[in-house]
Amino acid sequence: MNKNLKSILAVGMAVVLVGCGSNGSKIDPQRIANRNVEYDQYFTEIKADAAPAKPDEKGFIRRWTIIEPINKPNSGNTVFTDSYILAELTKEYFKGQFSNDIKSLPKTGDEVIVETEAPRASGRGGFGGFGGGAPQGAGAGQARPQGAGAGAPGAAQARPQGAPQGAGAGQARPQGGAPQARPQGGAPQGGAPMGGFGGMMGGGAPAAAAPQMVKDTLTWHSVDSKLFNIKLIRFALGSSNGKKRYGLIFNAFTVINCEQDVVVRLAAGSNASSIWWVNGEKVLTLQADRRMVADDGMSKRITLKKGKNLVRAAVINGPGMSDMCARFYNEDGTIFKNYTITNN
Amino acid sequence: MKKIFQMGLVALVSVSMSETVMAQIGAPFIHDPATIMECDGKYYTWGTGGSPLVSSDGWVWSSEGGARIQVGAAPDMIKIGDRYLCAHSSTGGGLGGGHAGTIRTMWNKTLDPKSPDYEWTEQIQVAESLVDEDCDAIDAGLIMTPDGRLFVTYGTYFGFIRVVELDPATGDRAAGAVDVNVAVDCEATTMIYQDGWYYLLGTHGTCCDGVNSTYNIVCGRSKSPTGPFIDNVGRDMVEGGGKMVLGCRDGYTGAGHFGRYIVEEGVQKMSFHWEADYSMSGRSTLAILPIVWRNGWPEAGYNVKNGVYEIESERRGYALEIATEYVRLGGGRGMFGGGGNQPNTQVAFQKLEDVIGNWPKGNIDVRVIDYQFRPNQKWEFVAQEEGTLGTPYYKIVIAGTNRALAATAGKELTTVPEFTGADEQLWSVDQLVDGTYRICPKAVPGTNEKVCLISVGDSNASLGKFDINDVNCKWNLRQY
Repeated sequence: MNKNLKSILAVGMAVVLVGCGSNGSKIDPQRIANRNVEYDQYFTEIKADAAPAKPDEKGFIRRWTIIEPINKPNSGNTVFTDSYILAELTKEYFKGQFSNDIKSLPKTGDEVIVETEAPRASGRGGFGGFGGGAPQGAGAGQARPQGAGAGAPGAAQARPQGAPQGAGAGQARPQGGAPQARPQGGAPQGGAPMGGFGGMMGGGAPAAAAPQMVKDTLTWHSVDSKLFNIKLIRFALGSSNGKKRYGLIFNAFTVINCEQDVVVRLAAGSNASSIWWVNGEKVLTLQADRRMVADDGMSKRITLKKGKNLVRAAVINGPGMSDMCARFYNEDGTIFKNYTITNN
Repeated sequence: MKKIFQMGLVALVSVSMSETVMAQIGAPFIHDPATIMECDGKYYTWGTGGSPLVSSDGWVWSSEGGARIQVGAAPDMIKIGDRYLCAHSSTGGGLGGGHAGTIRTMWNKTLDPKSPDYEWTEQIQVAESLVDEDCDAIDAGLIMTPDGRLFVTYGTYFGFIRVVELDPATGDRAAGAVDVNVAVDCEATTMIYQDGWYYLLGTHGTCCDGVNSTYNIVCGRSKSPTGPFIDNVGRDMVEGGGKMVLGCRDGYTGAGHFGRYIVEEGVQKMSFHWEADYSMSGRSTLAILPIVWRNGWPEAGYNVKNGVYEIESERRGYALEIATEYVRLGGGRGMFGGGGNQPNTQVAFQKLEDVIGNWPKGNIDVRVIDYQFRPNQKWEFVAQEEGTLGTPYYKIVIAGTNRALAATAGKELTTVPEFTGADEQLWSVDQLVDGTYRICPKAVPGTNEKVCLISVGDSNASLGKFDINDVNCKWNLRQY
């Protein structure tokens, strides 16, 4: 969930504001101190033999093994139709991507080489404007540095979200990386019809021409999330030294260890679309452009068997905040937490 | 040029009124409308980019008479004392770009650009997000708490929604204020207070995709303005929770950017924009609907659509009718379950032509009695091309006739044989916070007193002062 024309507009608005001479008060450095988007603010990397974890207090599964994201450079999310989701999230990029053999699951640090679409330069042109149509300042697009983690802006005072469970040995990954010059859309264009902006976000459809393909080496990472949700955008940025941010497909798995057979429902949320499998069976699809909402979708009743159960998730997003969350519910609507979580 | 505009306005009005009455008329094109402000008898709002809309009556809107203000995305307004505080935002980001946003405030003594007092003060930056954190500081929303504290919410689809306290005297941050995360991945948040709860309203869904937009307004509530804000199923808005207030309605897609206007106790309106108004080329338009509170949660209510209704008293459940000769309904007898094996037949309804010939030709009084779907109990509501905040005036006539409900001198009621459009024959119909309706004449001959249709006893009606706590002031509009 990320398409927001206001964001596009804001490029133009920044120009307007500068032009109008607004002053802005002097900012106390303390109020923006400790805003941190470093990788290790979100994840603890764990070893392959890490001790089992438990779901968190609210039942969210925080341990996942995630492969570095696959480029799928959609510049918008309007393409996320049912058929598109099914085609793109079940496309096999590497051998074993959808294997149900728990004994052969990849280990953290394992690498695969995939052929993917080359990243596309982001940035969009001007647009019609909201409700106005009055002349707007013309101007060329702005090239802006975009390096991940630049400036290390920090979080506001977040309310406690519960500590991650079952931490393993952490590997702090460097964040940041070389800034990328990204073209931004040009300033808004004047003379657009009043208020008529329907469909202006309509971009994002795959280009008609065959996309340029590149080889990409991707590494698996077993992580414990420090939040209830898995901030995939931060995983992408952190694991790619800031090179991957938007237009990505994420694949992840986790292993649920049950003491006995149990009938449950898988509840999940994702930004944007996702498909979820349990022991090889596709149990949930969250189609279309959407924000991550806890318990957004819930599967039909499924049986987690005694022993190991494999849960897979695939998430696709264009630009915006990519993340996901998942937990299990008992048939009676209570949260199921009587299991451990491993990465193998 | 002006004449051409006016002609266009008339055409737009005609098109709109032939459809439904769920959005404003005129040229109400806007995106991200600020909470509506009243200033010197006019209503104002501004959208992203500072584009203005102005209305003299709250129903017909256009940009005429307003002045563009130099703001970025999604301004909001609040009146504090005799001044108006505007909070607005900008970000250097963009789709696929960074998220270094800023929230700024500024004051004005008036919203009328023709006033000599019209001047915005120097802007104050009160909050910000840096280029790459889990927040984008845009979409400001202002609230004054019952104890006089001022807060601003901000943030958008990229990460957390935050709230921080401001100084109501200066519009700057309150001393020692700390930004608190209260939700995630919303747009256009704002906060309102109702019955001991703070409600955080935000917009979910897809913006800016015309008729395919899925924008929808959601909310959670808390006992504190700094949260946690929990939805109706117990989800924290930090987990994405939110109970829907309004999504779309037939012909109108994508409700976003909530603002509340309290007309008076018991009468609340929500302003927002439709992402696409099907009757206006799919453009984004200003909309104003009643707020109904149900089980402690706000919902978008309904303006009355053109149609035939029973006007049912909330007091007793009887129906308003014109006081004509009681004519027994023909055919059909109960027979207490008997009747043997005779086949069922359709009992004829009493028709207008069956009875109208015996009705008096002049004015006819009204009364309130058992509803039997008689012709003298069926009222047709027809929206007119002027109104009050968020709702048109209606002519209310006996269906199939032009006999119109009218206020009379002395604050009483009658029906006149022909609707003329006189002010005493125009009625505002506002849905109240409890879902019932208030029906008020535009004017009452001989007085400037504001009154509404009331029950007097179970079986009679009059005009009297509105009180949300008085059941006599409330009516239900039933369609069968």
